[in-house]
Amino acid sequence: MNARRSGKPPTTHGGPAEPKARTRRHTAGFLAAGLVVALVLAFGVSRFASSEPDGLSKVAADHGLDAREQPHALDDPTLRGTAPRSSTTTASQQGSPGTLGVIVTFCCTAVAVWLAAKARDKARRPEPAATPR
Amino acid sequence: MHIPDGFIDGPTSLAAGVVAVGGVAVALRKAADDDLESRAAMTGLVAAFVFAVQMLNFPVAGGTSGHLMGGLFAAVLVGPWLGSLAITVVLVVQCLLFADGGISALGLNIVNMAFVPTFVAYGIFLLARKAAPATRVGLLSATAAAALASVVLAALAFVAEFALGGTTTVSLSTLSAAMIGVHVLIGIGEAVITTLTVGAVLATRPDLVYGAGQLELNEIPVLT
Repeated sequence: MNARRSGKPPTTHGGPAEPKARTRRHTAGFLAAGLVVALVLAFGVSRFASSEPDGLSKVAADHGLDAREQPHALDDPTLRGTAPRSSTTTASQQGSPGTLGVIVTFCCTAVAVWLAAKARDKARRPEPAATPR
Repeated sequence: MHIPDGFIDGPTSLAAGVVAVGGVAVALRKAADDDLESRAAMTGLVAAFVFAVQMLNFPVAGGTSGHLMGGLFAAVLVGPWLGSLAITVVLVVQCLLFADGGISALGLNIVNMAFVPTFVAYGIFLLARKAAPATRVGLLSATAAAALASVVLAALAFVAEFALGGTTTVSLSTLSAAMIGVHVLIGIGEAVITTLTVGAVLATRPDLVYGAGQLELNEIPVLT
């Protein structure tokens, strides 16, 4: 029910902390659902993706921009199959590395932002006052 | 849209790398004004989602495909500063773990796909949001227009970089026409995916959409 439209205040079933805790639970559920969707897209749906070259690759091939293209330094045979959109990657090879990529990306980003928050808090914390002797 | 090694010369790539490092430092400092603790997981989710959807190449005309770039999407959901950081992490993971996008071109790719959409196209989003009605439809219309613009602007950024340091000789007018032509089509796909996804978040958790800002979005339902 839309509380703003109905004009009714939100119903609470506990103390003042209850709505905040409920919002936190909703957010956790939302994040978990979003992560599951990302994993399903990476693992399952990605195998139906188009294997045609993307816009830049096509323009580069058509106009010779790729004449001096160099191979990727990390593109060895063991890693080639893990490239999300490699032309040498078959559909069945794509899902598992994509899943790994989703998890690594989520963790790296969340940890980076969390570390930035900690660094900010540390920088803003006032110096403890010197104790008089 | 990932530039491989060898398309752009060393000095231009190095300059873009310096811009990328500086941009990330500025974004980290500016993002510190946000509520970082509560946004860390959401920013991670946005990055993970963009990584996954970037794998879903969709066909466009003439044997070409496109995929979500995701910069504007990230900026609308978590703000331009955290959004640029999220896309930067996506690009670094793709480059270092999946050999997608050249190592020497990482700075170029960060400028084109992380900074141009989250800073320049997000500015277009803010202007369009002001011009549009303060409703859900207005917000999503602004999102669609800016998402389309973000892809074309990134394509133009590549043309500018190629003009500065391209390793082959190609007429810039020919290159511009080819890049804009195909990326307008890809931009339409970007606009559709971005608008549908932001719309879905808006329908369920409007409080998690940073781009909704302080507007009186009277059509947005409130979670109770």
